[in-house]
Amino acid sequence: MKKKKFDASEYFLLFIVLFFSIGYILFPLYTLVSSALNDGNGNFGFSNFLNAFTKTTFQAAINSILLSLITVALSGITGLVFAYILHFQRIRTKSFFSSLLMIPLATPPLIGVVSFLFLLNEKGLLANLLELVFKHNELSFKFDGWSAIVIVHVYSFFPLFYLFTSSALKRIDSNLIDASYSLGASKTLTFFKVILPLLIPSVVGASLITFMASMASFSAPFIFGGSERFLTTEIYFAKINGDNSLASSIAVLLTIISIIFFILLRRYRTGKLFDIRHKGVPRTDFSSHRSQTSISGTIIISLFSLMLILPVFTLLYLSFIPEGSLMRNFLSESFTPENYLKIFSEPQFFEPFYNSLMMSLIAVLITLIAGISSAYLIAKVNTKFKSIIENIVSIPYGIPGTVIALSLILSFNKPVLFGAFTPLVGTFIIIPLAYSIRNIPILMQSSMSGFYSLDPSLEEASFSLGAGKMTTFGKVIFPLIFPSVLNGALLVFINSAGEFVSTILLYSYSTKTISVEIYSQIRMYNTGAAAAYGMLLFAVVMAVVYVSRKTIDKSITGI
Amino acid sequence: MNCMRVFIIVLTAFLIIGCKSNSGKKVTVYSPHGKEMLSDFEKQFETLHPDIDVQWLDMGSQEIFDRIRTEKENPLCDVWWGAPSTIFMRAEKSGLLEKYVPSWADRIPEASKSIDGYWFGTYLTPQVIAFNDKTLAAQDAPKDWSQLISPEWKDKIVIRNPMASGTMRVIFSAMIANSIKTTGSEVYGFEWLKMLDENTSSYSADPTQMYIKLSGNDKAVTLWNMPDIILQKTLYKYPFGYNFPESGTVVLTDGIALVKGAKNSEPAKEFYEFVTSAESLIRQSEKYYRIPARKDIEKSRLPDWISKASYITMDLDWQLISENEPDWMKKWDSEIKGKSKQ
Repeated sequence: MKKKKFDASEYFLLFIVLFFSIGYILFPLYTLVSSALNDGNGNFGFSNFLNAFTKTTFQAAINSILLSLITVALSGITGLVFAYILHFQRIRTKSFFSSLLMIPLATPPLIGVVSFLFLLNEKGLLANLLELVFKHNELSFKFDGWSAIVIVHVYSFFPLFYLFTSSALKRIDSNLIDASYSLGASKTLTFFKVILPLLIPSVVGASLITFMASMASFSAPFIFGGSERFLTTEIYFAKINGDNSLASSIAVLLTIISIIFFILLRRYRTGKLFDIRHKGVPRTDFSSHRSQTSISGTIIISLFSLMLILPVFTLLYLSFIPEGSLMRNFLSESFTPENYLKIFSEPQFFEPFYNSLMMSLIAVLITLIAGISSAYLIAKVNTKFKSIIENIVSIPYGIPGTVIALSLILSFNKPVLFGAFTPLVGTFIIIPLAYSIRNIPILMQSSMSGFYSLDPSLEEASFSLGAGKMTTFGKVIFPLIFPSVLNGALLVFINSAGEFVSTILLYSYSTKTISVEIYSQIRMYNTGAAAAYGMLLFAVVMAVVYVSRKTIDKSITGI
Repeated sequence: MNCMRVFIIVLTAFLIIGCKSNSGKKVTVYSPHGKEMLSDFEKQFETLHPDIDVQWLDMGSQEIFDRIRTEKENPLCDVWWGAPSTIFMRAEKSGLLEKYVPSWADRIPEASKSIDGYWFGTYLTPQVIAFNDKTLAAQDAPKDWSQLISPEWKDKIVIRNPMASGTMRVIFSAMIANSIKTTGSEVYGFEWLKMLDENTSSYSADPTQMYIKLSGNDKAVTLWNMPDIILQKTLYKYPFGYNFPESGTVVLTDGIALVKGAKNSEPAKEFYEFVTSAESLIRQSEKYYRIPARKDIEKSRLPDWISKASYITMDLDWQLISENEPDWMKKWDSEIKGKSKQ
């Protein structure tokens, strides 16, 4: 179904897409780059960009890359071990364990950082527990620097490796492994020569995503970094120091590194399709190899799972502890729901909750409009712009949140066309705008996969039965692409609801979100309030994940 | 399609709730003075003026400066309550402040105010060497700047990340200004900062993290302002003690100012006058350990601890510090911070 000419409604979609991509992707990037090329005194040139970098910037770049590599390696190993045990060994309550893995994935980065902080720092839950048990606490707890950042990163990213590899494992034909055994190969040899090569595509995919996410990570390096430098925190401190030119230069450097990995990821995705040929239906049931429950496997998995829920448990526990009691021995305090009651009874405490939900909904709305429009143009209309649109709308996926926030500040701190000629800095709308820029590629991708799986004859049937374009879209196309679009929209919602990285640069008094409120409560050491907000956010995200699974299942079976 | 309908209903419901605009008068305050003092004066002011809603954001003074600079075209803050005079001097130069001469303007020394009336001093804040007094007695703790850099305190020192903290920036810059004054060059000052960095075990992201490290680590030592240290000790039973550096300490002038183009300038002026009235200053000195910069309040009305606190004030060129602080801190950040750990 390819057409030569645009009609009015398609011109309108094109206008939406161009407006969004020029106004909110290209224009902020342009402002950022020109600020990086400017030395602050009006002189312009590429040398300014290079001069801005001192040894410390390179140190920060090396640290960021090193941190990302360590994160990838450790998360990869952990995720693989987890997937391997769950797949090849007979474990009781397997599905329970694998659903626990959703916890770190759904936990917003700041919540992960905060719960580890409460669990492991000098005055943390663990230190207090040990003090209670041994009466005298000789162990000095220290939770900062590299080890703290790496622990939090691995916690957040290893489930990704698990998900990718376990879905690959499910596709492996067990006859291959039987063949390897019967040819005399040992278990280890079979793992390295047969299984691992089959997993490599998914491991590479997960690695690239993890690498990019670690490069962009802000919360953990910000709270635990101390004297260590990372690119994201350097941007923040340069901005605080009033050096916008340096901040933009570092931001451009970080973006270049991220985009390189993003391009690698995309090239890899299109080139990875290799297939194993087999006759008949592949046999994929592995656990039948084991007749009894594996005890060691169950123990390892249980320990893992304990570590998975411990941070959330810490948060839950602290949310019921009265304010300020963390300075005392809080294990002896009685539980109270006052932290939660406060959020729902006092408007000033409820507002951040309201703001977060509202901003996420607006972000979903904006990405829905702009994302579906671009996906429609890319998938349905034959135009030369097709790949240009796809590439431009994909750019934000490679831009870290800190950089998006900085570029928005630089672009919209004065009245410009795309800010409706008012300075957007400090307003409500700039935050959901940042969320939607960051998330538009997700929605575009998910709606594109909906459009591509669409049978064009359905649309033609609708036209031939006399339905107009709008009716066809509303009654035929939209219901069919709905599951994929919804999937993307929920991901956008989840990402936005707990966003901290760009919000911390963009918020003002009346636009505080839950994550900003958690951060400022921690700054004031109101652990109870911080934990209660954290639990609420966690509950919202979990509820959305749960409901979305139900809805998507239903709408798929409903067709 | 039900889900879509639910989504739309939820969105409109939220929009309607969101539109209940609070049309009442309000005043927005950015301040580093801590939630205890801020919420106390918020309540007092709101009792006196039930029609005005006080909104405050608690941030480091350097962060406030950055925010106000960013919001220049669309000011969201009305009163900037608290920052070292050095930051106010720079803000005044950048045209971020609104001229306002308070009723008590003539009762404050020349050195503690802007000559053109853009900002006025509120407190004199002495900086101290604070330590964990559970594991360290006052006589064993460092007593002067020079002792802090001795190998004895290797990895014992915790510092609040100086880039975002007005307090730390002033302390560090004062070391360099003092070095220029006594030796004629900044070399010694930077050398001192380098040796301090060698002894520093960690830089904390915010004051609370620093307090926790100070109370949780054996023989930990830090540099911080006296009021906060005493306040944390009294309110939360932190095991904190402090020494005034013997050779003289950095005493910075905290100030207050109105923000240029502020949207609520009338209530802002009311708030400004209220928190800087003699009664408020006395209350701040009693409850929050602040030393008033105004000289007209009789000693008898102020708490005893003020006259008992005996410290020598380091003689510093504040103009020089204000002008050079960004460059000095940039140099510290790029050439000194964390270098010894590599």
